[in-house]
Amino acid sequence: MPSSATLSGRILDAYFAWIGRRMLAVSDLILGLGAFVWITTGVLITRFRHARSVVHPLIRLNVARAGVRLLPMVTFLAVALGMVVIGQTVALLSRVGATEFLGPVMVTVVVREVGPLVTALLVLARVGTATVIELGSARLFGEVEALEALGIDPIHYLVVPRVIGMSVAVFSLTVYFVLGALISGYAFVFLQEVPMQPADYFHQLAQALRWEDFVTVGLKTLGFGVLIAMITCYHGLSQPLRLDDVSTATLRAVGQSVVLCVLLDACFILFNLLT
Amino acid sequence: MPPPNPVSSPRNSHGDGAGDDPILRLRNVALSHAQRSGEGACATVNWEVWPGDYWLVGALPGSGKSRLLAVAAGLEHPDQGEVSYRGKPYASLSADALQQTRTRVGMVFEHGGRLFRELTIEENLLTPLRYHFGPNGGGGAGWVGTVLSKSGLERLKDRRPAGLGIAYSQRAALARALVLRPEVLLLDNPLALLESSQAHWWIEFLNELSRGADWLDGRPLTLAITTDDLRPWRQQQSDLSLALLGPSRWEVHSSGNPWSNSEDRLMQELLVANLQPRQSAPREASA
Repeated sequence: MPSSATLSGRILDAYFAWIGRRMLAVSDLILGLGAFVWITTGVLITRFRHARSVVHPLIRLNVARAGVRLLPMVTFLAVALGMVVIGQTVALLSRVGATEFLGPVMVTVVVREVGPLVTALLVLARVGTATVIELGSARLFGEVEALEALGIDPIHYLVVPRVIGMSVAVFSLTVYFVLGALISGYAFVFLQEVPMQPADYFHQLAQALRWEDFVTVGLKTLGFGVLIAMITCYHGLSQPLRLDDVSTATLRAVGQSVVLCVLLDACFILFNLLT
Repeated sequence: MPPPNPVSSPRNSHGDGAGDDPILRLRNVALSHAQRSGEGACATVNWEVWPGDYWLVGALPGSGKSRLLAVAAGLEHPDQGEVSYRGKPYASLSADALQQTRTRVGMVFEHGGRLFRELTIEENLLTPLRYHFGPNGGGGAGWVGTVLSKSGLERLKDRRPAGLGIAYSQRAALARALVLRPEVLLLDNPLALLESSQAHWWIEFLNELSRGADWLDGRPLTLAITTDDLRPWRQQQSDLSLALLGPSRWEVHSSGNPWSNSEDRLMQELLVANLQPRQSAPREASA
């Protein structure tokens, strides 16, 4: 029977081995994903004008799929969030007589933070997961090799349209989401008979918005779109998948996309605080 | 590692004016794909494919046929050795040049040809054409219509691959490879899973391509085909150059020697093909 000291030593060894394996896996992921992003960026820049008659329709298709088709869902969420969060916040502020802070609160919560993040998570859930499955099965059925055999760059044909499509979609849907949330929020307030004129509400919002907010939201949403597209495409294409690997790859891609989007968001918050 | 074989080509002294280099040259190429149990050794391939050649490579399943063609097409790297197209090693080509070269080396994959599932048959053909030549380049929809018609796929052009049987999927893959007017066509076991009437159509069609089809500018197309069953090809063995691929083995069959006279065990196995009748295609298109 092993002594307690030997047992704890073994547990520690196993723990450090597990930490080591995780670290190696993370470094592999960073290297692989970094190389994938590098290659995709290169192809995006050098081949943007090449094969326009094939690739540009695919870009439009991906914008429609990740953006236009998600508009009803985004509108629903924007109205729900506007009523639940904004309506209650406005009602609370008016009760304590602090309605002059309404604009800054709305801009900070909805425009800078919740809008981009909720939209990105929605695109990830609806389109990102489908991307891993589509590309994973394309790899599984040998379509990627078939593209290469025909002299078609798989990154150009499969990845570039998705990166552009998802980036444009997250940006555009965020704009709709923010507008929908702010308008539906005020509609809820109006129904609650809070004494605030529409002109005062929108004047406060306009006062609270700075030009940096537009730049930040633009960069953040494009960044979210690029991150989600790169990570999901990477997991779909990076290695030959079997059918039973596809669900694992999808879960991994979703987890990593959420973590990296939140980290990117944190970087923007830090930048805002410092400036 | 077995010693390198002498370079194998029936046209080593060719004089067709197409240049001093073969279309494809595999020099000391090692392939370690053999999956047969207990025989996982490398075959070392020295192979030259000259313009107008009509090659048949016989090998048992799991001997590395697909890998041989993938390496020859520049889709995979060999374990060792060098593969070159028109005298230029693939390894020395830039990404753009390699991509361009792949349009000259057509590839037809086995078991349905790996068509793009979300596109119709016509779109499967139009996509590579438009990618390389623009919306109306390379002959456009008219040329695609001709290739579809010659391949017997005109009525099926609006179907997706999932709606076709393997026989017509395989034809569509052939048509997709031909639409780019390649210089050499590599076909991976094209007759596998086809019933005899389909196999007959394929052999006639490939013979026409090899002779030079009018609709392909009358230019004889260079062909390299792998197979695990030599029986359908027996009738025209005098027109073919035959090579045998096995574990640790790459050998060109002497053209003067009839196949059935060979005492080679691999050749006998390929001619007997396990004494099984040819399988029928599991799903035929209803059109």
